[in-house]
Amino acid sequence: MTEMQKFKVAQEAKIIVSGYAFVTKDDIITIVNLNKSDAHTCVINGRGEVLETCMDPIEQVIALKIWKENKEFLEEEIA
Amino acid sequence: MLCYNLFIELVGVLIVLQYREVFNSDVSNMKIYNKAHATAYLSHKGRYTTFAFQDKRITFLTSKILERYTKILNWDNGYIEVLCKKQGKPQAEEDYIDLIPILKNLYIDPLKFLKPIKEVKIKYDRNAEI
Repeated sequence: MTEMQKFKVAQEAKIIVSGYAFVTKDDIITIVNLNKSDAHTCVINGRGEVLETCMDPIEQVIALKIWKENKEFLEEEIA
Repeated sequence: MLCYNLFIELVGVLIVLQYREVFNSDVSNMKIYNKAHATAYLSHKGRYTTFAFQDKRITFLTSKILERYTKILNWDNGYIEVLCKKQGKPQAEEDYIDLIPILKNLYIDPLKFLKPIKEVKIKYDRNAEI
């Protein structure tokens, strides 16, 4: 993953927690570990079900735990 | 003196032959090593399919009724045609996996990742679900 890609992900992300960027699109959430030089990404749905990933199982658990703790900040604001 | 010269020549020929064998075995070992390093492995466990190449493992959600992958029919730079056994179906069926959109979603450069892969094999762990 290039620095340019990381920069783009960081800009698109709704929140960044402990180096994990959370990019939302419709009901799909993409979690990217910005601390790693290669891609460490996990794509989940709104229920927290993993759809696609290249993270190892331990990192998935960490990413999902951070998502659970912060998912309220990812929800769309109701005006 | 003639005997001595003949002996030296014979020793020389033997050394050359010995080195040739070593060189040939090195070349064949290198071919095996390169082949192993150009092979990716497909497997599945539960609802997830895993595509593993070198130290990278791509895992993605798969069909609920998939029992087991049985044979790789074709590998075309990220597009896999595979035979798989599904629940409730008596015979293995053809299935297709396109890795390119998955890799793009995971911010992995498909060209860079797929280029060294020459072969895909099915590989299940002993404890894998059947």
